[in-house]
Order: sequence, then structure tokens, then C-alpha cells
Amino acid sequence: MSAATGVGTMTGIALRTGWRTLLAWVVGLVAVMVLTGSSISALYDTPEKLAGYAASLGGDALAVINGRVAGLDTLGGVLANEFGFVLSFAVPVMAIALTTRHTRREEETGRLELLLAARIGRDAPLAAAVLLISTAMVVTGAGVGAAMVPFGTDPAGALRYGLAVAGLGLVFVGVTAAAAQVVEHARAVWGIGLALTLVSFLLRGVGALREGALVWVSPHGWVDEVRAFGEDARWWPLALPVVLWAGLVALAVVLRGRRDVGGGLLRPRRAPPRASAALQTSLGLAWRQQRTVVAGWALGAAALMAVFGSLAQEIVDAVLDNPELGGFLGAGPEAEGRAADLVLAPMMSTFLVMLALLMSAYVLVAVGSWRREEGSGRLEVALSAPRSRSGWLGPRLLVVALGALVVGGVGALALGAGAAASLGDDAWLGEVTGAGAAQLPAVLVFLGLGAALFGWIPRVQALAWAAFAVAAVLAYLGPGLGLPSWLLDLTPFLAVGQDVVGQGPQPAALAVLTVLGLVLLAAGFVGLRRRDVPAG
Amino acid sequence: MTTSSDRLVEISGLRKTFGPVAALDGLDLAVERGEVHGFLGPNGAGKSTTIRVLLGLVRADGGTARLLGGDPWADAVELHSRVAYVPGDVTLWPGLSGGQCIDILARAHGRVDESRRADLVERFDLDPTRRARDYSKGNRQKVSLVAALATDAELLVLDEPTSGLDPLMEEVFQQVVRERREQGTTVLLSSHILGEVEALADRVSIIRAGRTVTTGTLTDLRRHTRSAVRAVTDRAPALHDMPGVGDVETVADEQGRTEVVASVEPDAVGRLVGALHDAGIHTLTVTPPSLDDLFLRAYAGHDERVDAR
Ligand SMILES: Nc1ncnc2c1ncn2[C@@H]1O[C@H](COP(=O)(O)OP(=O)(O)OP(=O)(O)O)[C@@H](O)[C@H]1O
Ligand SMILES: [Mg+2]
Repeated sequence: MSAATGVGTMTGIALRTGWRTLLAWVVGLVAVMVLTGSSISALYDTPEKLAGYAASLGGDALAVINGRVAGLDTLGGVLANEFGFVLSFAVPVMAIALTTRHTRREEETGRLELLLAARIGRDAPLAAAVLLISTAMVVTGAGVGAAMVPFGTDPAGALRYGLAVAGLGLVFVGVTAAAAQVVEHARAVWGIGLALTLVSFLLRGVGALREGALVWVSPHGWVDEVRAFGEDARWWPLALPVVLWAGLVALAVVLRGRRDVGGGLLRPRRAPPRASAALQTSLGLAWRQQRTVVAGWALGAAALMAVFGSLAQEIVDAVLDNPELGGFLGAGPEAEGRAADLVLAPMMSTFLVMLALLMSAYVLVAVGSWRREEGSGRLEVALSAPRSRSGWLGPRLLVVALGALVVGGVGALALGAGAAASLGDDAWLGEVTGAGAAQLPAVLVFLGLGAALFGWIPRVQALAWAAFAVAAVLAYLGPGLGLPSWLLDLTPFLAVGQDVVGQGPQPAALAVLTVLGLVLLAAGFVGLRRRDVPAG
Repeated sequence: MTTSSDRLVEISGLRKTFGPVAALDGLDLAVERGEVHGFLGPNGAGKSTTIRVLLGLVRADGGTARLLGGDPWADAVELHSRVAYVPGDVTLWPGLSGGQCIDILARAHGRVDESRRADLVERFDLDPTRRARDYSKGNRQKVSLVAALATDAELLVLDEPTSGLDPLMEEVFQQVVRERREQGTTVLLSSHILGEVEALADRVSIIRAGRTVTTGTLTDLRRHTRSAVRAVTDRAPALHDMPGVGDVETVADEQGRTEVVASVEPDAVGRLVGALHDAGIHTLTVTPPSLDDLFLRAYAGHDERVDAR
């Protein structure tokens, strides 16, 4: 029996246990492209309008987020630009989520040991996972590319773009496969994957704004360098992600050979033999379990927001350099002021929406960990103590809320400080941080949603993620797609105000969202008091 | 007759369904103060569900359950200060050390006796500085046990507490439970390890498919079960149609010496031995039913109480 015996069997098992999630990701991403395509092709239905897109407000500034997309005067280029944010995060997250699930998670639960005892080679599970998920990435890329064609984009460009999307996914399949061999827990694999996504995204953003070579060290940058819809389109950068993918997978196989099943390469350390008084309280234990997670998210938010903030001056310069806009704004210090009002404030608001998305994602991850408390039997033991169910949930909620505040606070300060330093104007620090507070009710709604689902039907807690995904896509794509404002108001992140820095928040929406969030929280407490533990 | 204040657990006609599955279907259980009560049944019989109802984790659909004289659901918080619970398969906090887990769990169970805690860590041979994620299954189980046994709870509820323990540790566990019983602690012990139940339990309840099949002391249970008899006699004994005697098989050689195999109910032993004596006993063994036989018969759907009538 060779180490690769049973790859087919393992692929079959992985497909049977995971096809729903797999399909949801592929269909979800292609659907976003279809949505983008149908709105954009209706909005920009003439060459003149398309030409206007390239010259429109903030096109250059948005390079920080979307990269420098070639061919912005073609429909394909516009679509690629609008899809940029989804691509930047959703595609790597898809690769990380699926690869972790089929490698480290399987090992962590001990299921893999069971299989390896049967006629399955040691390398087969890893090979099967990589094969299956890499195929899924290629299918996703092909689907995204194919979805562009019916709207009238150049088919060759769409093919190039689709392959570039697949390439970005492949890189992160490789990253995750290798990371899963180094650390022992799925959570740590996630941490490594997300951190590298962020680094790659930031490098591309800075590189794009400065038009420097930095884009070449970022897999995100390689997508742009294909210039799928540009006049100078080229195929060869598509080889870069494939080479990196192959190298990372080979590295994963080598690393796998050097460790035991269930173990990692990094050995854990010893720990203190007694629990401190603080750790013995509900609140202390809940904080202990969350603190590394909070630190990771806060670090990520700080890095992302600091980079965005420190690019503020460059964004203003880019706008002033734009011949049409520059003329419109005039010259001199007043022009800078007007540019700041016109471009910078909405830009900062967009960054704050991103920060709120990060906070909400953290909240959902943290609330999801309650489900693990229940599945592991720890909740049962905790509730066999003289402690009411609310006495368990309350401290946990408090910790998650505090964690979200830390992530948001650190992120907003980093954004504000970065902008203030870049523009040489301290007022921005207060302005940005203050405006960021307007997003808190939106985050509260997701905390409430997570808690309510945990209290009533924990089995479907994933619905909270579905709601988040819809809200996130609408928040990011909605304004550009010219969607009706009642639809935009359905996403809490825009309902609080579409430009919170420039125009301030919508007090009525803040009130409604706060009340909604609190009602959902209360529902969570009521539900948990009434239901069976573990849930039936 | 015991008064109900001496009855720490009192369950009658308990029902619980999960969707289409009836996990409990009219279950009865009574645990008296000061006893170790063995709680047995095949996989999926409803042992863990019963325990969860008792701890107010799961709400029953019908029947009554009383814990320490209170309502396990409504009075959960007050009752839990007097109870310690060890679930069968708890995953500890992976990032914390074994010692930290013990402190956190013990704090949940009630007041910790520090000297007892130290003693138990020593006897169970635990390294409290190892992280829980690096423990073997047996060591994880020991952490849960130490945490519960170190408290001064009135009632210990143990759900398959020794799965994964090696024989040496199993022995330690039994000693500790005996000591606790001497001190007056009551124990409800769900287990699949028959030897452990035999060694510890004053009374047992056997359940199957959510219903109590039999309950009583082990002697009681034995009393309702046939012993195996093997004998060699000079002549063929007259055993036919003797009440309380069954499964008779006889093999005789040329000289008329007869080998006899039969099963006998406890109250017919005298009659049977008399008949064998009349036939001239050479050798005689009477083997009481092993506990395994007893459980296997009960698990397989043999209601001993009905049978004994
Ligand atoms: N949360 C639940 N949801 C659905 N069914 C459940 C749930 N908990 C228990 N059951 C079902 O109820 C029945 C009794 O389960 P229980 O865990 O009480 O059995 P048990 O006697 O403890 O078995 P074992 O010896 O295997 O531990 C089983 O059929 C089980 O599948
Ligand atoms: Mg059980």
C-alpha cells in the first residue's frame, strides 16, 4: 500500500460529506457576478457611459481597495473592478474554509484516524482535499468568467479573468494545506490563512496606489497584472499562482511526512497547574477563551485600517491629478479641501463600513464558538453548577461585545490616526473615530442575530453567516450598482448612513437597529432558558 | 419504608421524545441517601437522557422527576450546589492545563476540599501542568473525575465515568468512591463496566428502550435468576417435571453412572439436591448466575421479574 492509496475513496468521502458547502460557495460567488453584471450592464449601456466610469469620482482612489484594474472603459473591466472586493476576500476565505475543513478539522475530530486505520494511505487525505478544493476553485473561476460573457464582455478577457480568479483561490488552497501541517488546530490554520490574505491585499493596495513593483509580491496583484480586459492583456502572469500552488502543495506533503497524525510541527508548551481566581469566574473563563481571537482580529483590523488611513494624502493627490476632476476642483489649498470633502469623506466612510464588516465577522465567529462549548459537553458541565443559563450567557455576550469594541476601536483609531498623520490634520482622528461609532448598532444586530439563533435553533446558526454575506455584498456593491435605496437600507451597514464621515449618521436608523439588536439579544436569553442542552 | 427526604432521586413514569425518537418511555428510578446506585442499560437506552433531565439540562415531556426533593428544571440553580456531575465524554478546554481545568470544573461542582484535591491528583497520577489538548482520553477523564470527587457534593452523578481508564486507575476510582460512600455521599453511577458496578453498587436499575426493566440489590436480582447445576450421580435421578428445574440433560454410561446438567431457581435448589442425593452424588457444582449473564439477559429483553413469577 503506497502513501497515496485511496485518494479516490477519500475524494468520494470528502465530496459526500461536504458537497453542500462546496456548492454553496461556488454558486454564491457566481451569483454575485451575475448580480453585478446585470446591474452594471443596465447602468453603463453605451460606450460614452463606460468611458465616464473610468473618469468618475474616486476611480483612482479605489485602487487601494480594488487594485489597478485594466480596461476600465470596457464592460469587462468595470465588472472586474466592481467584483474586486468580493474577489479579494471571498475567494481566499472560500479556499481557507474548505481546505481547513477537509484537512485539519478532520484530524482534530479524530475521524481521520479511523480512516487511516483502513486501507487509506497517509498522503491520501491531503491529496484528496487539495484535488477536490482546487477543482472547486477552477470551477468557480470558470463560472465567474462565464457569467460575464452573456452581458457582452470580451470572451477571451472573461476567460483570462476567470482563470485569474481561480489562480488566487489556488494560492490560498496551497497556503492553507501547508499551514494545516504546521499547527495543530483548525483555528490557528484559519488565523494564518486570514493574516496572509490581509498582507497580500494590503501589499496590492499600496502597490496599486503607488504604481510600484509591490503588486508583484502579492497574489492579489497577479490578478490585476493579467490585465484581463486591457489592450495590453497577457496570459503569462497566470502561471505565477499555479507555480506557487504547486510549490506550497509539495511543501505540505513534505511537512506532512515529518509529523504524526493529529500532531503538528510546533509542540505546545506547559501551562500553570492551578487556575487563578479570575479564571474560575464565568467572565474570566469566557475572556480567556476569546482573548487570542480578539487579539488576532484587532491586529488584522489595525493593520488594514492603518494602511488605508496613511494613504489618505495619496488618495487626494490621485484625485487632483485626474485631469477632469482636477479642473473641476481648481488648484491650491482650497482645492485640497474640496477634494477632501468630496472624495476623502466618502472614502473614509467606505473604510468604516469595511471595519464594521470585520467587527461583525468577529462577532459571528465568537458566537459560533458557543456552539462548540455545547458540542464538547462543556456547556453541560457549566450548567450543572449553581448558575442559571442567563448567568452563563450574560458573561459570554459581554466578552464578545467587548471584543467587538476592541476590534472596532483599534481599527477606527488606526484609520483616523493614519489619515491624520498622512494629511497633517489632527481633526481627522476625532472625525473618523466619532463617525465610526455610528456603525455600532449595525454590529449589534449581528450579535443579536447570533445570540437569538443560539438560544432557539443552534443547528441553523449558519443562517447568521448567510445574512451577513448578503448584507456585506449589498453594502459593498450596492451603491455602485445603483440599487434602489430601500434595498440598500436593508443592509444595516448602509442604513446607519451612506457617508457617515461626510454626512453623518441617520438617527432614526440608529435607533431602529439598536432596538432590533436588543430585542434579538433578549430573545437569545429567553430561548436558552427554555431549550434542552444539548439541543435536540 | 424510607421517607422521601431520604430519597435523593425520585423518578416515575418519565417521558422524553426527540422528534420521532422516544428516548424515555415511562422510566422509574429511585436513589436512596447513602447508596451507590448502579444505572445500567444498552447503548441508547436513555441513561444519559435521564441524567440530563435530573440536572435540569433537558426538560421532560411527561412523568415526574425530583432531585433532592426539588424540581430539577425549576429549582436547578439551588439544587446544583449540592450535586457534582461527570459527563461521559467532555472535551476539556484545550488551551488550559489539567490543573486549571480541575479548578474550573470543581468550582462549578461546589466547594472544593483542598487536601482531597491534592490527594486525588496524586492518586490518579495526573500531571496538572500538561495542556488538556495533549492529554490522552483516559487522562481527560481523570481530570473530570478529580474535579467532581474533590468536592463535598451530597450527590455524585457519574455518567460512564471510567471509560478509557486503565485497570490500575479503575481500582483507584473504586477505592475513592467507596471512601466517599463511607462519608455518606450518594452516588448515581451509569456504567457499562459490569465488574465496577458489581464491586460498588448497593442497588442497580437496569433500563432498556427508555423503560426500567428491573431494579433492586444484586442479591435480589440473583435471587430471580437460575443457577447452573452440574453433577455426576450413580443412577439416573428423578428430575422430570420437578417445579423450578429446567434445561435438564442427562448422559448415562454403561454402568448407569449419569452426568446431569440442569438449571434451577433459587427456591428449588433444596428439592433438586435432595433428588440428586437420592441418586447417589459423586460430584456436584452449583454455579450462581454471573453478573454478565444477568445483564445480558436483561439487555436482550428478558424481564427477570416476570420470569421469576
Ligand atoms: N439531543 C438528542 N437529539 C436526538 N436524539 C437524542 C438526543 N439525545 C439522545 N437522543 C436519543 O435518545 C436515545 C437515548 O439516548 P441516551 O444518550 O440517553 O442513551 P444512553 O443510555 O446514554 O446510551 P449510551 O450507553 O450509548 O451512552 C437514543 O436513541 C438517542 O439517539
Ligand atoms: Mg450515555
